Amino acid sequence: MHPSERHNQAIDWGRLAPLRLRAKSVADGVFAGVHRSRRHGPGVEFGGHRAYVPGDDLRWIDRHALMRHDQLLVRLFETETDRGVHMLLDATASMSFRGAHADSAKVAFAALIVAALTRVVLSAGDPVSLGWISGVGSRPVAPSASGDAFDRIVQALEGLQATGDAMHDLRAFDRVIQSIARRARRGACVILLSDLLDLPDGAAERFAALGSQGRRLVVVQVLDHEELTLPYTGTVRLASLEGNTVLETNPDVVRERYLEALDQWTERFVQPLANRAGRWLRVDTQQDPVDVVIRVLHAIAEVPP
Amino acid sequence: MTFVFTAALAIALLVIAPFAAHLLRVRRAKEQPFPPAHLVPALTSSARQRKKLEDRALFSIRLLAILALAVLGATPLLTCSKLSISRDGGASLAVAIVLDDSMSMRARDDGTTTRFALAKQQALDLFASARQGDAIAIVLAGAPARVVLAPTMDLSLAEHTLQRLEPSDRATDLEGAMALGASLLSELPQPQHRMVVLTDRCDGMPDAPPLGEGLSVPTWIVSRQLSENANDCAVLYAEQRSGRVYARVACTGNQRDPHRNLVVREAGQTIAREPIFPHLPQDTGTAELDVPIASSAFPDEVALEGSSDFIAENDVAPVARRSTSFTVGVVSDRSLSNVETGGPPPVEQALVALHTGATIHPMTVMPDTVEELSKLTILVIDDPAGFTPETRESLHGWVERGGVALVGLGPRSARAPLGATLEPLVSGIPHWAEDAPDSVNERDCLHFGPSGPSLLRLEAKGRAHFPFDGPTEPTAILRWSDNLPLIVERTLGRGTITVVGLPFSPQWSDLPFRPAFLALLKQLVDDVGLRAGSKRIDVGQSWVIDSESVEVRTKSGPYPVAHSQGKTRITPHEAGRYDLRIAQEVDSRIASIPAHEVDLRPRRITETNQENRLGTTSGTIDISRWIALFLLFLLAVELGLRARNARLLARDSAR
Repeated sequence: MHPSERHNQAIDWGRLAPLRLRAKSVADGVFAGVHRSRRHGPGVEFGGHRAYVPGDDLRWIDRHALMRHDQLLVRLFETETDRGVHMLLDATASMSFRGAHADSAKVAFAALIVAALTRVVLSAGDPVSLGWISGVGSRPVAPSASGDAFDRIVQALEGLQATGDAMHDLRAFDRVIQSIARRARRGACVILLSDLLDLPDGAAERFAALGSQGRRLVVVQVLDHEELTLPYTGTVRLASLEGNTVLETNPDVVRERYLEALDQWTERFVQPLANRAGRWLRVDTQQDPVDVVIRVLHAIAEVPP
Repeated sequence: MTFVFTAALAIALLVIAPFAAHLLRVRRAKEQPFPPAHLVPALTSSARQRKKLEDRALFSIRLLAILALAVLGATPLLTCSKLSISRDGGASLAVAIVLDDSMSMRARDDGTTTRFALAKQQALDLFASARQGDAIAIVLAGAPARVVLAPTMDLSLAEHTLQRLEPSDRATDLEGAMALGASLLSELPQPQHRMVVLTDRCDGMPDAPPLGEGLSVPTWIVSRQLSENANDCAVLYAEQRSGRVYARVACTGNQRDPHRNLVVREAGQTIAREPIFPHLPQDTGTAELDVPIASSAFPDEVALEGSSDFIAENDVAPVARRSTSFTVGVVSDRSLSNVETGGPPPVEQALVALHTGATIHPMTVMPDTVEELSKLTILVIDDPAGFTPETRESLHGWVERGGVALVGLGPRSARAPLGATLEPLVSGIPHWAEDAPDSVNERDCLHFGPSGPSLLRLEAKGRAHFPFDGPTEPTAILRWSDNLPLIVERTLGRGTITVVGLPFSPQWSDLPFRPAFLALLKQLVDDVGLRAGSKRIDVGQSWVIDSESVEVRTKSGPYPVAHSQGKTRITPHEAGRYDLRIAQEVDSRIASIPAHEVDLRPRRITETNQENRLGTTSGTIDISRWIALFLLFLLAVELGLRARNARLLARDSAR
């Protein structure tokens, strides 16, 4: 059995189950108010004009400008009403990996972070949505600030099965990005939780493009402790969970070079993100989830609108 | 093979365990799921290659360790290829080792190691198989046979004695040595006696009866692989006589080099050369070469040049100045003592055949004056018919002054006329009777060495009964089988008288045709040589000097001498020149190689004496101590390898 097949099964929640209770516990541990909403009520501010294009709401056509300049112009308003958080969870096969000393698989840890963030964000009255990269049984959750949004997201996470290979499927990644782009407006926050190991070439640029309209981008790279340290000794055969990479090596000899390669690989994703003032976090599945959520919220707060 | 031995060796089967572990470790590496595997540098070739080298060294060490453990468990039952004596029931042994140190043992059958060195190694192997309580004696078979180590239970002393033995240029006396060995063992308390003979059996008598017949002690004559192409030539001796060099050369083997020459050298320069091939017989034999040289020349050595042969040490001999000659007078009636083939009487022919260098002086009438007798050194008288008073007086004085007389008694001696007795040679009148037994005393035959057994079937038509008394106690050298004397010897003054109870005529007995008769004459001549201080003797014989202040030097330095009763005995072990410094005068003497020792044809041995029931060429030795040390060494090597691998790993990681 290929290693990836062994990991294409239900999420190895480990000691993180049940997700609902763990997520509430984590959220309760997060300082309330870290996710401060910048919404000040229903008021609007004039934001300028632009040419009318078919499909624009006729209510925003400026009649005065039509009469004065004989042009169809649409009045624009800058609003801060979209302070929602759109989370994108990597559910490819590589996220199902769980190290020998880890509490759970990477995807389970990421799911816990997602659920906890959901609860925190909902407590601030902001809408939350959830999208997926690959995965089986992964149903997207539309943006919602209602009270049952947490339940829907938790339910979606619990039914997840991490599988699939996204490395060679850039179109699927594009579809996910376009879906977020349609829903997330200026000021929205997009959080990607992934190990960044098996995303297709160009995924970094496409994700970074989401930050072009005032969206704030945060990437949480979730890695197992073994992936961060390569702790094996002697001659071992390493098999990736996506693709067919199987190689034999001596970790004692190549450890330093591997860590350099991991940093360089991550840098491919981080660099376009940094150009868009996005934030990147690397978390270890052995870390305290509360600290991880706090770091994510701080990162969201640091990103300029 | 015991159960313990089998079980110990079964441990060796575990040698496959490291091999199996090696396969499991190297070929089935642990497979580990690892998502970022594509970021890990593959190290398949270098890692596996280094692992392979490391494993091979450790693998070999562990294999060796297991095998060593198996051997350790099997010792001391380990069998090695060594000479050992079998013993019955583990009882103590008394062993006489007869080691041949004659010149033929210098031969190198394989071109590198001498026969003597191999024999010595075999003797050491025997010592290694000896146990506490065993007695060991060592007898050397170079003529004359001699005991170098009386029976002892001190094995270290025996080993030390053996280590310092060296081959010599002596002749071979295997019978004498084996008789000596048997006599040494005869009174030892050990329940089992053995005699081991380490020899090449080349004693110059290839056609003699097989060795080992009639021995009372179980004797093992260790068989030895001898080269079938044993060819050798040797210079026995050389002598300068008025403008000529007389050299005697002996050769053996049938492959002759026709281009070999005898060269005469003076101060390293060749002054004469003579091919030896035309002078030599077809097979083994000797030849006299007469090489003319300038009358003013003083050659110092002769040598054989040409292709090398089996023994290179005997290709050179020093040149002696004309040695002091002696004369042998033979009084024999040719009408009574002759052979059908003609020629002089048998006793004269025998003296000539000995090549003693003596002048043979046939005499028809017994010399009766002192002047005539004083010209003689040895007087051989065959069946004398009594002596006149004048003759008796002269003869008495001559013997007392050092003369050597040999007399054979026959019918004429018994019919001596009135007033004519055989004094001083024989006291009283002998009596001739035709009652000779069929044989002689077997033990007395040993006196004649290898030729002794030829007397066992002596045929005689009668014998002389002569009184066995005199002014000095006579010694019976040889007795008939009924213990009546056949040959007696006694001294008179400084002389010696030997009386034989048979005439030297073939008409009455075949004694003159027996090899022992030659041996008897040779002993007389040698005895004269000792008395007269012969310039040249065979290796193994001795010079006896009536002085204790004698220093001897050879080409290789000072030579040891033996002092006894105011006399000095010098016994050469090697052929060559010996310079004796006696009272500020230097006397140069020569020791030469016995002619028959050059014969490299081996003598036969009885099947009984080469049976392996007395010993084997393989033995058991305890090497557990060495195996244990070897195991410790392997442990140290493994630790060293592990340390080295750790350093290599650290270096690779740093890279």
